[in-house]
Amino acid sequence: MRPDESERGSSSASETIALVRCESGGLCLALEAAKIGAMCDLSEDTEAPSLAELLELPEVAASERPRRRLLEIIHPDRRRYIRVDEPVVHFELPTRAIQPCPSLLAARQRANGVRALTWIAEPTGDRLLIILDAWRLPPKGG
Amino acid sequence: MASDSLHPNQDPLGEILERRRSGEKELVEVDAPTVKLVVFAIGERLQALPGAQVGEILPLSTIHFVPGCPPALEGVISVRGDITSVIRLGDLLGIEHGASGRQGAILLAQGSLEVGGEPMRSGLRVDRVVDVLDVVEDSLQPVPDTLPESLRRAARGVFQLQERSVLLLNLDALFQDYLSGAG
Repeated sequence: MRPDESERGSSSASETIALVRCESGGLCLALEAAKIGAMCDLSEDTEAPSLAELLELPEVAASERPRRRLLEIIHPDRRRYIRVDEPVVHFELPTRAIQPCPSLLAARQRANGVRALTWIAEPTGDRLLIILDAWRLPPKGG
Repeated sequence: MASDSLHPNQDPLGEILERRRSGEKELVEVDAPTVKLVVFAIGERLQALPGAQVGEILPLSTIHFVPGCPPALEGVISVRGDITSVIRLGDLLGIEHGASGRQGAILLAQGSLEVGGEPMRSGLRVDRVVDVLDVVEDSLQPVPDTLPESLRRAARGVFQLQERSVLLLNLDALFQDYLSGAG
């Protein structure tokens, strides 16, 4: 459940997790900031896969595509890069706002890094934010 | 209006009232157990679920897509802030849904089995809710063998509603089918 504004500031509500929010394939996605090493401008010749490609989402048409960025995912053993669409925003999310995937959804979900869900308030209404585990993203073409 | 043909001893209104009285009396005297059912349509077919397993009937709202789900799992909705999955019930039953319209609804259903340590619960997308009614349990007929396998496996019985057949579904069997890869 989304936290009430009035509850912010209490000890339980003050616990947060740092996330990097971005867009890809028309969805609003987030990764733990602790697993992101850097955000770079995208050079056109990069071979890094887009997040949409890894999640098997349809790409936004090139004519409608916002500016893209490159995120560096850091891991003790390896580094990888993924392309995402702007806006890319670093923010703190109250942990109590995070919800696990519903059980029947989780039971048949393809292993693609989707770990949790939450709602974020936007002027047009609540929007689903899909929280991914950057270390569990599928390999390119996998 | 004149009623020249009416015999003095005839009392059509009295007969109607008497029939109603005796009919109502019969209803009161019937002590057969009943079950509350939620009747709904998918395409042209009528189906039902036990009311005890349907916690809420919601109007169709925005369903948010989540990547990596099977086709039958359409996405998630917000139920007062809580995230709830939505399954296209027709996809589990092998029935084509009608076009999305204003009458579309989501039944919040909970079975008696568990998955991942939690009760199996999900929103079920249907095309239209027809009625919520009490049905005498004895009026439930066995599932005909002529039904397609996908329907027969998920059915508990059949009953008549205004000369139309309604299939009473077994929610636990539906969820088990889903977990086994249906849809």
